[in-house]
Amino acid sequence: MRTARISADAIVGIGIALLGVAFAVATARIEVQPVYAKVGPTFVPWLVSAGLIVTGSLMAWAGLYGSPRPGHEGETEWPPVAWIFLGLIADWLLFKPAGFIIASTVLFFCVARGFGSRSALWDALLGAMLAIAAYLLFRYGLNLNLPGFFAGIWR
Amino acid sequence: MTTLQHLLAGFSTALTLANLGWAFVGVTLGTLVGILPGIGPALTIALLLPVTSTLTPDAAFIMFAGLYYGAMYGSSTTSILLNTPGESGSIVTAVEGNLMARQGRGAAALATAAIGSFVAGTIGTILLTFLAPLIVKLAIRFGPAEYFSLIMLAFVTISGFLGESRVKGMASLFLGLAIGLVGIDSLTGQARFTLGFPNLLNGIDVVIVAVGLFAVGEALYIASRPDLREARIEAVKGSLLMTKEEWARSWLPWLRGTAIGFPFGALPAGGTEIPTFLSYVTEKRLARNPEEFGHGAIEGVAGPEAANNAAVAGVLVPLLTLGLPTSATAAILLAAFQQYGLQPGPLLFQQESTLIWGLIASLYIGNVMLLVLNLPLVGLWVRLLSIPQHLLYGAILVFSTLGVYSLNGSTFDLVLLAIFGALGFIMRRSELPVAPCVIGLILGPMAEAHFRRALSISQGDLSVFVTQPISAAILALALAALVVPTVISWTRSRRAIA
Repeated sequence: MRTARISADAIVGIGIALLGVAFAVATARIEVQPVYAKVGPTFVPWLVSAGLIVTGSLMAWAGLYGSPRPGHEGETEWPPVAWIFLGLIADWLLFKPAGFIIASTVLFFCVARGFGSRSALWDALLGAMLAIAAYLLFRYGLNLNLPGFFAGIWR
Repeated sequence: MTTLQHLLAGFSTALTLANLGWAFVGVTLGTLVGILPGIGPALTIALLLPVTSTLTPDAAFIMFAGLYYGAMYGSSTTSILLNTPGESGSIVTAVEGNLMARQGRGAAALATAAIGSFVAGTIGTILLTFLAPLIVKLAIRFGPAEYFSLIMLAFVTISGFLGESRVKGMASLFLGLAIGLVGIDSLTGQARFTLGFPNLLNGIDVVIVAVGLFAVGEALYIASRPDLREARIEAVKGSLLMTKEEWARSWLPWLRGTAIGFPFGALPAGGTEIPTFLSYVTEKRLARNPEEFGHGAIEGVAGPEAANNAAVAGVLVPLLTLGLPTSATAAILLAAFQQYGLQPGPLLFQQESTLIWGLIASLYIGNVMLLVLNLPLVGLWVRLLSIPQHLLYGAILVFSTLGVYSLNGSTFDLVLLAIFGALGFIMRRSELPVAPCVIGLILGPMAEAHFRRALSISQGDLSVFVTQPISAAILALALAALVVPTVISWTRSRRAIA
């Protein structure tokens, strides 16, 4: 378990450093008008890119070679993570075409699943009730523009 | 006008029926989200931002301030009865208070926490009242160079010069700074890091990042760790009226906790977490029976709970007088000011003195409301703890998507939400603190603007930051905060080897 912990830190550190490299590449591509040549729109991005590369590398280094921290590592379960992401993706895809209520019900259902609930029908029902209540409150109470049922069949 | 006159005027703003109502909504919501694990004041204010744009700034900030204070009260209840800190400032309480609850002294723990919070919150607010005008007087002379240096100091301290891992704090800070760079450069109109997405031209809204990191990231993390999913709720046992002995053992820790907590919040030294630990250690050292610590000592609840509330009041000092947030919630509050086109700082005290003093006055009122709301009604709040986790997080995520969508009415933001959720999950897993990221995101663009403005005034001369005495002093302080702990830990490890 210990080695897994260390390499996880190293991976995240490398990821941050790579993000810094990506930012540096993107900074190099920003066109700077000569008027701003001295401290223009790329000055701070260069600093931030460098910061990401340095801190990421240090973190990766510590993860690989540093003394392991006393961890409280518990087992990680991945199916719940997948369920929640599934819910978020479904929410995004359904939000405009199917409307807020359906999208939110699906999201609620998936999250409840992810947290280990097995009473599918009950979760869907509660999710729908919450979504409808939120819709009515925000659409009519606070006048927020939310997509209704199937793009305008019911508003 | 003198400070007292300002404060009286503030009370006349805060005591209108409408504003009392908003204060009540704020403290109630704050208690609610403080009690519910997985949702805190930063997240709640972030989610409310799109909705409150229709309120007047007075009403909105009175509500937000109540919410900020309320969350601190509420989280102590969760810590004591559930052994899960509602907020990071209640980690110590989750240990000592929960031990008291297990011994059937839960009611006394709740009482000393609530009254201690009240005492500390009120003293903290008094200190805020009289300290803020003094700092404003000083800050009115600050120019871009001084503000830039102050932000640098805040960056060093919040990324944890006292924390466990400074590298991780720094990494989190730079992540936030990087996110803050996305969008159109405010000084030249140049688009940066938008990857060709027109939705990114206006930058990434702090609400999306905060909700992603806090709500989605937290949900993913808790769901992935079955050992964190189950928690035992202790029943409230004993009497809420503390005994004479409990009062005698509580009042000094309350005052000491306040004395430790307020400066930590007011000097940009990083949030509410550290002062609670310091208070705990202090109480343990001063206690007549130190062996009781670790088995449910009332001093170990009274001190830290006072410390975190005093720190919350302290955090408002740099936020209101300098526009400098030093906690995640303060960063979101700053975003809220910006939503109204207001920039906290010395000028705000002059131009919006009704708003500022109404806000400060409402803090006194909110504290009284919170004491009433939390002590006698604790039995009611406790029932919230029995909401099953899957329903709680389902609801949190539904409201998160709702809040994020209503920012721009665009589903593009829902994709960003998922991305920042993933980032939050990764950060939680590798123990990267989230607060520096949020603060970096909001302060980064301000730092850049001040930096470039200072340089355009000095015609590109970088020495402007060290030749002006105030700026130079602040930068020296920042450098010391950066270097000294490294040297200390280095010599310590050398000594350990030798």
